[in-house]
Order: sequence, then C-alpha cells, then structure tokens
Amino acid sequence: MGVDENEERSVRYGGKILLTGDLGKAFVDAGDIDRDSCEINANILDAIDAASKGGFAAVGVVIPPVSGKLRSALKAFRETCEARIILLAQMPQEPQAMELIASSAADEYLICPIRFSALVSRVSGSDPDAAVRSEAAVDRGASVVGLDAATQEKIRQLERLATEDDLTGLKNRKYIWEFARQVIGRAGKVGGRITLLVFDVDNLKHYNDLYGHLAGDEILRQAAVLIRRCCRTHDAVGRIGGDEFAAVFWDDPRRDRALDESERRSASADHPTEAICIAKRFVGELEKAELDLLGPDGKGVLAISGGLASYPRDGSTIGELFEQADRALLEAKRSGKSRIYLVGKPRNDIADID
Amino acid sequence: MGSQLQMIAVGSSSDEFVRVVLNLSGRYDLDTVLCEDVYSGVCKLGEALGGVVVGRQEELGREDGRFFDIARMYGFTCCCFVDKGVAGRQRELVKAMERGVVVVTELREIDELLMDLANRSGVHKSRVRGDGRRGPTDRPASGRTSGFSKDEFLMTKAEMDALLGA
Repeated sequence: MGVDENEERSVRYGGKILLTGDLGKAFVDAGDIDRDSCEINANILDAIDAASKGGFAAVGVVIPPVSGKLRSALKAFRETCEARIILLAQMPQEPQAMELIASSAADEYLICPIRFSALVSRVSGSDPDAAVRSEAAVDRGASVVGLDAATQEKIRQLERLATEDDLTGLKNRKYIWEFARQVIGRAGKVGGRITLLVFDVDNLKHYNDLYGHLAGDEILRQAAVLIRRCCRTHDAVGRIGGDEFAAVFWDDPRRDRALDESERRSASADHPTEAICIAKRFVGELEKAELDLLGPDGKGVLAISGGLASYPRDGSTIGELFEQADRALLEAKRSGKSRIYLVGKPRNDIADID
Repeated sequence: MGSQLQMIAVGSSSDEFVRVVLNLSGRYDLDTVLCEDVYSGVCKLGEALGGVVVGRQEELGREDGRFFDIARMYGFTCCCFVDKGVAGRQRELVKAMERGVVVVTELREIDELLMDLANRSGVHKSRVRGDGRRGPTDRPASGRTSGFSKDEFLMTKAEMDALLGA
C-alpha cells in the first residue's frame, strides 16, 4: 500500500485507531487488523502515552477480565486526548460496559468478537448501524456490525451456544452467574439494588412421568416465556438447571442516574419492591396459564416455588446470594410449594406483602 | 511552563506518605505535580525535562511495572516507597530494581533524594521538541537524570536482602 493511500485512509478515519488490551479476544481474526490504520499497544500505559501524542480518531480498549483500575485508565485517555473511546467487551462484560458508558468514562461499546473492519466502519462513520451503544444498550441483543451476513449469523450462533439454554432460549447458568457477579461488583462501587430470584417448577417429575418428557419440556418452555414476559428488558433471566430458573433484577444504569444518593441508600437497604412486584406478577401469570398438552387438567396447574435474596442484605457475593435464595426456595417447597419466599422476613411469603 | 516540572508524586492525596512527599517537595521548592495513579502519571511524563517520580511500589508497579520503563524513556527516575513487610512482592521488587528503580523503605531516604535533586537541579538541560513535549529519545545521558544522581540511591545487594528477608 502506498503512502498516499495510507494518508487518504487516515483522513477518511479522521486519524488512526489506537488499540489496547488482549486483541485476540476482541477480533474474529487478529490477522485482519490493518496496521496502517491503527497503532497497537498491548499495555494500557503505553497506549495512554501514545494517546497523549495525539493523532487518533478513536481508542479501542479491550475490557480485561480483571479490570480494577480500568476506570482510572479511561479517565487518563479522556484527559490526554479527544479521541472517542470504544470499549471492546465480551458478552458477559456488557453490564460493566454499560455502566462505564453511563458514567461517561467511555463513548460506546461493541460486543466482541468483531472484525477489524467493523471497528473501522464505526470510527469512520460509514457504518449504517452506527447508533451509539449506550442507546442500544436498552435492547440487550447487541448485534455484531460490519460483517457479512453469514459470518454474523455464525457469530450469533456461537454466542447463543455459549450463553443460552437451547430448550427455553433463556440465558444459561454460566451467563447468569457472570452477569450477577458483574452487577454485584458494580453495586459494590456505586450502590444499587440487586435481587436474585431462584425458582423451580413444582411437580415437573410427576408431569414427565404421566405425560412424557415432551410435555415436561413444554412446561419448562411455558414457564420461561412467562418469566421473561414479566421481567424488565434489562433483567437477566436464565435456566440454571433441569427445572431450575434464576432471574437477576438490577437497576438500569440510566435510571440509576436519576436516583439521588439518599434514595439509593434506602432502596438498597431492603428487598426492592420492583422485584417483589415482578415475582408476584409472574405467579399471577402462572395461575392463568393453560397447558394444552395436559388436556382439560392443564389450566392453572403450572406452579413454581422460589426464593428471593437481595444484595447487600442477604449476601455480598453471587455465591452467597444463590445460597440464600436456594435456602428460601427449599423452605418454600417444604411449606407446601407454589409460593415464593423472601430471605430473612418474618412473614416471608411474598403473597403476604402488600 | 511544563518543562520546569521536576517531580511527579503518584498516589492518593489522602495517603499519609503522599502528603509527606508533597511537604518535602515544598520544602525544597521543587516543581511538583500530584497524580492520583500511574495512568494519569503517564500523561505527565512527556510534559517535563525529566525528573523523579515518587510513589508507593503498589501503585507505580501496576500493569506489570510498565510505568517504570516509560518513565525512564522520558528521563525520569522512579523512586518506590516500600513499607516493611514485603512478603510476596519480592519478585516485583527485584524486577523494579533491575529496571533502575530506586527502592526506599524509609521516608528519610526520600528526604535525602529530594534534597539531592534540589541541589543538583538545573545542572542538566535536555532538548525540548518543537511541540513542547519531550520524546523518548530526548533522554538525558545515562547515569544522570535531570541533575539527579540516582546511583547514590540505588539499593545495595545487602540492603535488598535485608529488606526481602533473604
């Protein structure tokens, strides 16, 4: 490639792209990276130093698995150059990316892996789908931009295989665990409310034995549809075991900004009412559900037992929250099933809470 | 003008050690800038003619100690403060020392270092690039950094062994 062509490129991009972090995780094929249109500094300190010399249209920062000081590094980029800061995140890191954008530490994010050309399109503004990710964050099905349709589909398939439960289409256990870990980490720093609902379908074995496993699968799918319908778009819902499901209710960062500090503190002191309302609504939907596969007996028989645990009152880690919610779920089962119990409440059936 | 900068103190202003360092720099009339962490510290390196970076080893050693190398490229000598009880950090410290970092364990040593820097400042003048920002190749001659003789402050093998409990 000639010098003029490179310069033309640079002008088209409004400067080079500065990349930092583990690029192997960010790009479908690291060999595709056009070194004429970007500068690579694996170490973030080298990248900040390079950025301070100017000439970059954008800085692409691969979010590291452990990123205790990432915010400080992004702040340094902000202070030292005017380039757009684009976070290159893995899917489980999406909450973290959203939070960094909400706090203006970065400008947008892309869910990786992507092709290098997709990043270039985004930076040069030629990407027709160049909506800023902070807005797109609301719909959590982030798309991979700038790839041909077949590759996009393959990547989506891989993402689905890695993060979704194939029977119900909900997220899988690994995703829920990682998602909850991330939002708890965020809440530990900036405050916020998180409630974990763990539930299982009552008497599934009975239906399996009586009507066959296809009927059992249908019951699980039905439960999945109903819980997803009752939750908010930003809540994470998954199937974490055979007939066991989990939902992570958390504060949307955009709404979070609207909460003042005192409200945030009081809100985090107890089980958030939204989570209880959602759980109640879910129970109501279950009661109305009709299971055609069970014939005339199929109306109103779908029931679940569940446990609700909230951060930080019931646990400070995802492991503790799951343990507490599981314990409440067991209590609910022992008390006759078809109910959701709150951890640590004297009258702990959510049906008793106004 | 940025090129007057002689010292970069890295760390939280609420850290007692950082406060002491800032007091000392005031006493010796050193042009000093405070950076909260190494990330903002890197931004300041190119704004000066070299000098000394002082901070706790935990902070300066972040990101695999890369800050030490970048600082050296800009003619800065890093001075790491290490509290007693460094179990588990031996390898990091040895690596830092191999990179020419001055490791100190007592505030008195920082005092001496800054006094030396103040006494010698102005002896060496480095070139300044057209954009006012120094480049890595503009570093002062080895052994001398902005009028500061770091060799006098490098830890001896015996001192290092004593520190690391070897």
